[in-house]
Amino acid sequence: MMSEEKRTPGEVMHRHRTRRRMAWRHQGVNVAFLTLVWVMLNGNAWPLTVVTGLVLALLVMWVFPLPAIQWQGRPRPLGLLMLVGRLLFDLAVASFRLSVTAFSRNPRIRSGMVRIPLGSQGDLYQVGTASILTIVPGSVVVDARRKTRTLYLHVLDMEPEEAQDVVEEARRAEMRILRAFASNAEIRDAAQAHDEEGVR
Amino acid sequence: MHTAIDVLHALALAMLVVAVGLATKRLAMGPTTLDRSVAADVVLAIVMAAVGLWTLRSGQDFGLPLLLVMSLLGFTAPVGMARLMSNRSDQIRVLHEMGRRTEKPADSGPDAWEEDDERR
Amino acid sequence: MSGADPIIQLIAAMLLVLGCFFCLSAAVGLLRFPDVITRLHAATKPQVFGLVLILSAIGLRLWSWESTCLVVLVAGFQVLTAPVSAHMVSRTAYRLGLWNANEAVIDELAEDLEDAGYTHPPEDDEPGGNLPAGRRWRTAAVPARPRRDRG
Repeated sequence: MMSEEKRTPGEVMHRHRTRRRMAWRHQGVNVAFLTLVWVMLNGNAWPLTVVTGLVLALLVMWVFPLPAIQWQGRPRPLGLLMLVGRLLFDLAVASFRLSVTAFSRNPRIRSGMVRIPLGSQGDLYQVGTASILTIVPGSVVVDARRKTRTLYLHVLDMEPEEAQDVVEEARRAEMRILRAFASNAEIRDAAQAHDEEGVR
Repeated sequence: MHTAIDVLHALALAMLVVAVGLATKRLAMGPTTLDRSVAADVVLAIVMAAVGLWTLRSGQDFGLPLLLVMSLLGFTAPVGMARLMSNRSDQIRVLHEMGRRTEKPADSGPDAWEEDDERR
Repeated sequence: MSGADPIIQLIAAMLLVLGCFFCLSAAVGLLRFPDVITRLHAATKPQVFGLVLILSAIGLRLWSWESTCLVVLVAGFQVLTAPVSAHMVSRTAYRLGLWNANEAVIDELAEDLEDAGYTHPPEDDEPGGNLPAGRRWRTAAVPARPRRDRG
């Protein structure tokens, strides 16, 4: 693609090996996750169930191959716990507020579309942030751009001055996703990008 | 204690019945097809809640696989309706008819915006 | 302590009532909100939380490992799939102009779409009916109506 970059054979082999390692790691994660889902579906962890789950997972991945995502992070248990807990809390609070609005005498709803530039680089983080922003009542991701890593959020009830607050909230959600799934370097980069955006 | 539980169950059932009525009203009223597909999604969710209520009263775990299938398949209806209604398909068709541009599309412009999605 | 205990059943019944309250508020919002995207907000979000509450009530009542696993799975699938349908419906509604664009507070997506070269087609002569006034989005490369523009 870039013709001015002369790659030595050693670099080519290293890149090839790294990509294959990453691909195998992702396949492993996928197979493990699918087996876990099968075990939970059956409700028991007998060896037969686990073996059947492994067989089915491999079969599914063979019949429906998906392109591997570029994921440089790792799952962090503490971050995941914080993510799930905070998600449930946000869901509860926002659902209460929404039902108050729905039952109120005169629902004066002034909505708006806010642009949210994300700080991270990675499809998984963008999709994860979009997911939790959509599931929490009050915002829906209407559009997304992959190249510039921006999300466009439709917010249910806002004033024009609150646009920056909405962006802050979305960025905090993104940091929660990053702390659950990303490597330290990615978290640092994203925090730095957020600070730069804030200063500008 | 048991009468309190029965009263609560009856209250829940009453709320679900009212909710179904309201959602059906929107299903009939909704000026656009998207309104109707959202209303259908709500009706499905209320049916799931009713299955949950039945599971609570009967104590059998028969309804759980039912809930699983409904939650997995219930989102495909609004998605299908949205794809049907969007006019992207004729945008893409016209673009194909006019022939793709021979050079690489620029980094901006509607082609680049849509290309983000059509890459895969 | 099992699922059939009256205390557990009482807690489960209270959770159930709360969950059904959220389903009811979803339906009420569906009826009362002004346009498609706000109705989507009202209809798909409290419903997810209501379902989570009802599922936890079921988990309490059935009180076994298998049902708890299934309950967690159903809740997980619901959380994973609800945003997909919400996003697709709202994106289509925006592109077709089916939302209250006039009453919107700010619209930064419109600015970006216009910068990218999207335009609004000439007004179609379809009867608007009682649709809220929004405008459709099209790329400039696409003729608005082939049969009208040629010749």
